[in-house]
Amino acid sequence: MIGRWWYYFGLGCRDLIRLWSTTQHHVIIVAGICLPIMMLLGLKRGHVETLRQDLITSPTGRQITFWSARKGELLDRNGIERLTSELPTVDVIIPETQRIAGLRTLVDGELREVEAATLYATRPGDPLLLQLGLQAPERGMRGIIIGEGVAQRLSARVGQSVEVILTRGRGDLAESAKVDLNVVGIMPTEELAAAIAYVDLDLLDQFDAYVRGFRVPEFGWASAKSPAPDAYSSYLIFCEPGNDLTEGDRRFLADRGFQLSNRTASPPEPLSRLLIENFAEKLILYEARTERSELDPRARLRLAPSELSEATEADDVILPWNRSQSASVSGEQWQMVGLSLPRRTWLREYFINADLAFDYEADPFQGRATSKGPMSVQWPLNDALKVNLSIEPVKQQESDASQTSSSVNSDSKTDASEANAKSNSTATVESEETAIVVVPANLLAWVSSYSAGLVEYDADIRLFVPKLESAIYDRARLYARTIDEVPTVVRALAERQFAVMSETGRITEIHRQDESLQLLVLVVGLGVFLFGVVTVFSVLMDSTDRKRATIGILRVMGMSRAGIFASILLRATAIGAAAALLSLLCGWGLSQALAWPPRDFSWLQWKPVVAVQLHEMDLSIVATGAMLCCGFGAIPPAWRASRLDPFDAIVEGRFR
Amino acid sequence: MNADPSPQFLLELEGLEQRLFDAASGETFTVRVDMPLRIACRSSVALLGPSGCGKTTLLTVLGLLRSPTSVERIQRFLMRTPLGDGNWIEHDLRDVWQRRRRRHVERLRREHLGFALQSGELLPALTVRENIAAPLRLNSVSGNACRQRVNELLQSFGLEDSESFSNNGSKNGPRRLGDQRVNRLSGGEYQRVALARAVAHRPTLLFVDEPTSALNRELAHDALRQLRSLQCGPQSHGALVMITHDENLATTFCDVIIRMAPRRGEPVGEVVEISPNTPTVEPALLPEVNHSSPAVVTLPVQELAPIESLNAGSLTPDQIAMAEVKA
Repeated sequence: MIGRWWYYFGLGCRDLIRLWSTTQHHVIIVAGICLPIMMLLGLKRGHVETLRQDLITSPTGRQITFWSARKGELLDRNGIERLTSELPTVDVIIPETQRIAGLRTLVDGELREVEAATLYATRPGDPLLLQLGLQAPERGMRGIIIGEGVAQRLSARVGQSVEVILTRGRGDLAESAKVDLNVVGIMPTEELAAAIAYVDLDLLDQFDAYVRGFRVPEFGWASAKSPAPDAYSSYLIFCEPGNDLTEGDRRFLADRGFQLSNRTASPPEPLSRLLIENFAEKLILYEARTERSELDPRARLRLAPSELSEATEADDVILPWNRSQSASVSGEQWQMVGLSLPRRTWLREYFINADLAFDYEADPFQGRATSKGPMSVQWPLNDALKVNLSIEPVKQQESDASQTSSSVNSDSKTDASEANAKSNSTATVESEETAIVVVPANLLAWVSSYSAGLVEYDADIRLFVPKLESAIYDRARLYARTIDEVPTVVRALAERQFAVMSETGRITEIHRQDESLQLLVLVVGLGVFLFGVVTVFSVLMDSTDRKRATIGILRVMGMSRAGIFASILLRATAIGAAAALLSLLCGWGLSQALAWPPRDFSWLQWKPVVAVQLHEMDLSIVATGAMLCCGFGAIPPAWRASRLDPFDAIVEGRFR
Repeated sequence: MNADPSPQFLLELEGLEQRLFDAASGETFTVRVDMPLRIACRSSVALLGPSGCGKTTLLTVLGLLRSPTSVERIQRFLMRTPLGDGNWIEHDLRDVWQRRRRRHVERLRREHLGFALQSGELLPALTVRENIAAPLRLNSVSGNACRQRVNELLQSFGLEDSESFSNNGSKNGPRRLGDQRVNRLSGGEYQRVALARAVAHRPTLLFVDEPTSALNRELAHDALRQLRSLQCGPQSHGALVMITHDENLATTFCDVIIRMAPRRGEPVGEVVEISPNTPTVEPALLPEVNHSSPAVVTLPVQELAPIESLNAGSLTPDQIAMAEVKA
């Protein structure tokens, strides 16, 4: 059975090869149908590819620049990592951060310098640099890619070392740091005057930390001598009864998110022990706080009390306030209270000692107590850190204060005395157990922030300094894996509320053109395919008629109907394959001719250069189409041939 | 189908009425076989009659090329073919046609029937060898056996080599006929190739329609002697049915002469006489000189086994070679 079918196949092949004149006629007809479709597909792909090439060769083709715009996620390190893993088809995301630095080299004893070069962040695999044939420095590597202009001015070559100079602070406080980086590449720039360089993002973040005043232990760079900002959980507003906060003041505070509460009857502890006995008769005490300022250390308030006081109409005095801290000093329990007041203010008269509270310019590392000192102590903040304090004693001036108070508000003296009698007795009891030490308000603010992990203590400069936080970037450039995936990534970023800038418009336009051309090719291809089927049908019908005698002989010899059917179908399919091959060869030649630029032949200048791209997919579509076209077209003739009466076929065939 | 160890007749037909409709004239012509027609084993049968009396039509029915138009009127239509193991099998062709067992018919044609038609009708894309080998290849005979059988037949029919001549009449040297495409053959060569192809697969029944019309008398005699030797020799299990207009050829080579004639005034042709005949041809067993190929003396094939034996190895190359003795 298999042998017989194999023989049918052999017969078909011999028929194709030995009766070549008929075969070539059929092949040329089918190739004539295939070639235009192939060229159409090639032209379409070539045209679209030309448009795409513009984008691919441009560094911004795959690039999407995006930023939070106050709505999207925070662009810090974690955010970038998360986006890289979660967004579809992302190649790399590089924050667009930059820093100005000086660059310097020593060449043959001569110092060459670029005073202000802009350092940009890069990452391994940065497509922007890859486009220029450059590999970005590896993570953690002290490498730099410098622009062509910088390289010329520094006379620097790849492999040489360049000194990067970073400067922070101004005037007398200005300081600088230096680090040597290895030149790993020189990038071409459009203008030689452009002083640009690329360093790894990690390195640039460390440079940025230094410039912002942070300590960079990797390079041994200390913090800048500027303390961390002091922040408070609330403000205490003191008014005299005749000069209370106005409606405007209350509205002003409310507009800024402050919630105002009257704390005259229950002042924050241990304030009642530091004020004169009957202060409640002569003073009104408010506490202004926001919803989160007490609960969240990050949301503590940083307004200068004097600015707030000046904004209110009432003749009030505003104190920044943080809850007092307990401390175990030299075996005793101390209560540390932060009190800072303007140097000259009427409020001082209401304290048990006018000098108890510090003024704003006071050295932060000191304390005052009514029953201690002078002494020098260490305030243990944790097991590792103890802050040195010098304690000065102050005397209680209760009588003076009472007099002052009475002179300020004598009408309420009796009532206030009675009201404070109970609280004084409590303070006395407590004073036997816990000593109150008044420290500057900013010291207590730093200690509170330190406890919350927001600041750190730099022992070298004896200051609480801001703790280095992960850099937050303004914006980042993202590279999709292909330009076709750019719109998808842009959509994903837009869904995450990022503001996005990309070439999506052009890419979408290319896709639209691609789809339109695809439709055109499909319609034309389908039409040509149907036309081809009809042509093959009529050609093979005629050919089968001419082969009646042969078919008759084969039938007489016992060849089955299925065998006749299959051999004709097989022959037609082989013609389709040969036609596909022929059209491929012609198509290739034609595409070469169309794409050939006749630069050296002036008489051929009229010839346009047309990009034709013969893609494997298109070729396989055309080849399959040719074979299918021949196969479908051969079905009716093959069916008819298989039904022929053997003897009639011979007799009729004999006279054709 | 029944097994029959020793059949007297290979084909039996009785009661055929075959109608042929001619679309051009709108008339129907009927071919009738009312008397029992039997073709015995190892016999050669001649179909004689004037043109248009239905000889070819009868041949196509006997050769299973056409189905009978009125199967129900046929009283008997049997064919017996050998099995490879020496037994025979009987095919009730009336039943086969009635049940339209097309594949059965195709298989019988392929394995047990051979045809050589009036003008040869070779396959134009193939060479002489490939044409002769075609029935063997259709029966899946292996390449070696096929090649040996083709060589044997090329020799038998004088087709091995021939002289070729240029346009000016000078000799070009020997021409290997076997490798020639059939469009380069002369009329005589063409017809002999057709005859060789018809017997290549050792058919049980060989039908030939005017097989020697393109041959001169000498070649015609040689060719028919070969056919008779192959089909009707003592070791053969076949028979030969031949249409001819030549009374002389019929009496020389055939054991039975069937005469057909048109019925007067009616569009009917019928078998009018079936008469035995004693052929005058020399005994086939004796070696005979092949005139077209003087170097070869051909004996009747000793082992005329059915087609299966070619592949089954029951016939060794030596046995095949013994069938031919080179002078």
